[in-house]
Amino acid sequence: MRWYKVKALMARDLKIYKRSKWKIVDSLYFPVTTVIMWGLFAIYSREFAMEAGLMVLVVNVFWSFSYLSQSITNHSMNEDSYSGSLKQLLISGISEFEYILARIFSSTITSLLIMCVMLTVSFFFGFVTLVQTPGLIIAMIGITLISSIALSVMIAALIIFLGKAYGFLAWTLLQAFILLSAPFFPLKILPQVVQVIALGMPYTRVFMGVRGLVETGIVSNSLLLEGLLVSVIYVLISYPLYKMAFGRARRTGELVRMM
Amino acid sequence: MNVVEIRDVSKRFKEHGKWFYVLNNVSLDVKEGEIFGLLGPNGAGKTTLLNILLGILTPDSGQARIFGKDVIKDRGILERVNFVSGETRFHWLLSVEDVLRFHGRSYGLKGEVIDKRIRELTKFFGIDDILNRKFFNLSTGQRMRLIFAKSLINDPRLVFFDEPTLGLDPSIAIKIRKEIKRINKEQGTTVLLTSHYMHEIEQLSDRIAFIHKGKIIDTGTVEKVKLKKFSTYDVFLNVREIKNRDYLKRNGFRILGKNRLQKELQLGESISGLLSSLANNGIDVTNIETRKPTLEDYFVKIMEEKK
Repeated sequence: MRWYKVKALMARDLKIYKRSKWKIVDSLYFPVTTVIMWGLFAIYSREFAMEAGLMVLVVNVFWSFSYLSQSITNHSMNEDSYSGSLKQLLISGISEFEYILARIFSSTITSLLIMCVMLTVSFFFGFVTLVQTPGLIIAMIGITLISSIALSVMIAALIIFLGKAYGFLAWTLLQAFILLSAPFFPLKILPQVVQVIALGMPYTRVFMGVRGLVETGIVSNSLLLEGLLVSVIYVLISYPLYKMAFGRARRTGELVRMM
Repeated sequence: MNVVEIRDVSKRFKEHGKWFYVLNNVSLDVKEGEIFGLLGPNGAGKTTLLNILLGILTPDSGQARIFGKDVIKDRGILERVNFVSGETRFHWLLSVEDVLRFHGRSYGLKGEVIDKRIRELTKFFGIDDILNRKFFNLSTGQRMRLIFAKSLINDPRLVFFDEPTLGLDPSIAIKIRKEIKRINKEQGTTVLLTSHYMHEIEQLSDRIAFIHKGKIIDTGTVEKVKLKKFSTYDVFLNVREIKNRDYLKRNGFRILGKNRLQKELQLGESISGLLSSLANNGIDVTNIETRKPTLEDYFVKIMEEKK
């Protein structure tokens, strides 16, 4: 493990980020405006069902955070491929692990900063539990982050496996995981088979926790532990898949075609 | 010492349900400090071979080693290597300095060392006045100079040049060829070069290999390889007056005009004997031109044979 390679790539990512206005807009403008819209809905819905509006708001905050922490990693990989700079990166001797690690670090820093902004905005729209139970919020952010990292590695594996044309998975695939993680509704309203699938989804416990937090202010430790366990399982599955995808792409020539 | 060792490397791809070999049992060595030219027609397998050596493509069989190490298993060895291609691109938002700084850092350079290296390279390649210009704003020549500067940032012991002058105007191409020669002579950098321009390969290479349909057809010095296909060269002589026609006919001269002759000599055979023989027979030579077979002639001949 050569940290200088990871640090060099992170510094480069930061430089590109600073130079790219659309990236800042993409990662800050949409999440914040989403929070404002749902925040206003939360205020309006106080008249008849306070928790519902607030619940939608906080679920949206976590949804946006999960999307950002996953997609920034995959977008930067896509960008390397489309800008033609992937070859220059790989021939410098960087390993697959160092490459993805640098991307995960960059994405984690960026998405955590944006999460802070989103939580602050949501606080002004009534998400006061934020300051009452900071430990729980941090725990749920942690689980969401680990899950998103695992998904970003899996999606990276898929794009490498299927090829450059499947770069769109970077911003589409997470939606399916969110849907099956039952964001705004309890599992019991889903058909039996889908409930089983939902239990295996990485964000299910996070969304359960968020809804519980808004409703009662309580989230059980066992739920958080379960969530952590599922996210760690995803991490353990994701890296071998990524490594295998890279190996296969080297054999089939897909890696060369991505450059 | 061999810097590059390729042993029985084969690689095949599937297209429209059929397998075809891009490389078929290729073996070659590149020695330390030499410029090795790899030539062949489009689709011969040159770039595939470079991709294998750069560790971005795995061979189906055989071994590809750089400095004795397998690049797939030991990616660290690539820190002593660099790569130049006319098609190299960097992220469009990065400036000249950003590109060099990033690549320097990724090879472990830091602090004063990297600043000094950037100063030296940008000055040498004449891009020190456009340090803050972004990659997408660079002209083709400036891009090429940046690519070159980047390829030397880690002081590599081996550089792969894949069509380095493709599509460039002659003045830049000449500078690039000079630079390849310079890093080889002054820094002892080993060079593996692919090009479609035969004169480029002929001008630069110590040894060459001709690759066709994934197979190495010939390898050796340029002269040695040409000797395999051509044993003679032409001498054209301008003479004051054509005399002694019997002598000329007997000795295989062709009369091309009023005072011009042509003779075929064996490669390696000297002209001085020919001149003294003409002088002894009363023929005054006023001008001599030789036309030796070029690598281009060799290329054309091989391609005709392989049709």
